[in-house]
Amino acid sequence: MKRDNSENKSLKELYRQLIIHHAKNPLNFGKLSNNPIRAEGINPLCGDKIRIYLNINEADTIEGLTFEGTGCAISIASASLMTTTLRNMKKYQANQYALNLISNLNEPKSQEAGQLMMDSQEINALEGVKDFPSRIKCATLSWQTFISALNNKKITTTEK
Amino acid sequence: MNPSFSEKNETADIGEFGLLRKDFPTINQEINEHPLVYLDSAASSQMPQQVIDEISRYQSQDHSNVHRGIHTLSHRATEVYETSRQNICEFINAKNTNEIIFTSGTTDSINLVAHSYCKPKLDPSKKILISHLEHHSNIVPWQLICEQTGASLIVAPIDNNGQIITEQLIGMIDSNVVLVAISHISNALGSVTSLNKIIDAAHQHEVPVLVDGAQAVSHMKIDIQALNADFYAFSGHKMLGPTGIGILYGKEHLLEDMPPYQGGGDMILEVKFTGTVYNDLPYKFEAGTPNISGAAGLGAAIDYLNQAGMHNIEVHENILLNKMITDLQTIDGVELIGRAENQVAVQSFTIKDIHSHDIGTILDHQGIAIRTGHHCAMPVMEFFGLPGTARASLSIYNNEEDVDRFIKGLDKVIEIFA
Ligand SMILES: Cc1ncc(COP(=O)(O)O)c(C=O)c1O
Repeated sequence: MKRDNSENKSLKELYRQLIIHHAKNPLNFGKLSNNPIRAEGINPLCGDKIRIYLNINEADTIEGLTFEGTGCAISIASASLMTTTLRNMKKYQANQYALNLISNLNEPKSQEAGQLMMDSQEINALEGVKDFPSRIKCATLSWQTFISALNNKKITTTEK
Repeated sequence: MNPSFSEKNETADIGEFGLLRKDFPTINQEINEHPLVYLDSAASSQMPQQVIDEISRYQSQDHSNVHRGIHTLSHRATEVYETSRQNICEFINAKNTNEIIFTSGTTDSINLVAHSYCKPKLDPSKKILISHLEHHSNIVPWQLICEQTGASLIVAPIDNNGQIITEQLIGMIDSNVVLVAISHISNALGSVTSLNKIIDAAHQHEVPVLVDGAQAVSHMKIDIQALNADFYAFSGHKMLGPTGIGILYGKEHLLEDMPPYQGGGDMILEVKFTGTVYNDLPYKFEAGTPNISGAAGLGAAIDYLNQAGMHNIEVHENILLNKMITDLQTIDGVELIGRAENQVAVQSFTIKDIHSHDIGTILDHQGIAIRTGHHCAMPVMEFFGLPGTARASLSIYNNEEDVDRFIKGLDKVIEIFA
């Protein structure tokens, strides 16, 4: 029954409790008022669609950040985590953070046990997708959409 | 090599379908450390060894170009290619091989009819009639030529069970409709279209009907003359054959009157700069060197289906589909999408609060392959107000154990999301 254990392990890594929790109860789900910046992200392979609403204040700080859309547990949880992580960051910080996360998720899993992908426990819950190459884009969709919102690009897709 | 039934039988006994399974090498492997349960044949079916062997035999012994050489290999290649055409002709009971055009697949077949038959007849007063149930490949080619000519694309509605509302579709047919284009069986829901009524009604208005048969040919006996469809399109890779080969059946008098679709070698009799004489049917529509090994494989797939017996296949798959539907209904939170009176080999479903993509990943992890998402039928998903569904589809090689493993796999999905 060793086989069953390892199999369950990577599934459990993908669908960690935190991910399931955010997928079922996403934070900052909805529109923003005050004429926010908007951008839409589409994953044409699975039909996932995420819309991001963003307010940046005069000090270049992300003041408001919400999302709407439909998607799998991974993409919804990732979007939810994104809103809580990037809010209150400076614009350039948030941009860098999103870029780092996307590139980290696309890198192979770290061999060294205990080495963290990012500095946040919560964000690291997304790391489970590394064992599921077809699901990496689910995790990066909202972050990619956030970057296009910053760059005033209205629509972005995971397939180039 | 015959399908692996016991030797005394000419055709299969239903109880013997279990033996067939060992003919399919892809089915007999482990995926993610579990024996594969393949429930995605509506996307692409697997090939039996007999088909793989015939392709390999052709490639290693008979390959050359067709209709071109005086030498022996060219003769053999031509024979393989034309024998396959004959085989297909008999399989669907067409009148003769002039009506059987090799294409690269259903999509290619539909585009051929769009450009060669429809487009020259279209203007802003004309219409093409499809249904809400169609695969994108039976929507987009029509949209393109409508955009180019100003004609309109009109869409017959479906009901909540996922069936075309036949009477409404028929009511939309008038003499300005240039073509009715509908699927025989919906790939998203498995619903079978009431073709007889629709074709009769269309013919009363002298409107021809194109049937997208991609999902039908490997699941039921097609008698094209009895059906009386004017065009019928299908793909090799959904009927135990290889990819890259498909068929357009067309009534001979319609094909005769159509201009060629593409120009090139093989489709001409004489080329002069003052004018070119096109070749006769079916070659007029087969420009360039064709997919000869694909034709060889498709011919072998048809031999295989014939030996198993289309009636037996229908009964076998129907038993499995009924079991699958019954078992799915016992799971809390499962909703069946598409409950057509007449449904074949496919069941779409959702699980409450779980996205189809997550269902697909968790099943795949247990070695179970299903399709998730919009199934290239976004208007169907929109009709049901869903971003997508999970879809399990059946073929000749599936058995009851596959259905049991699938249902057990869904328990795991629900457990993870509990
Ligand atoms: C109903 C239907 N029509 C058309 C197609 C297109 O077939 P192909 O991709 O082989 O051209 C498919 C399969 O993808 C289908 O299921």
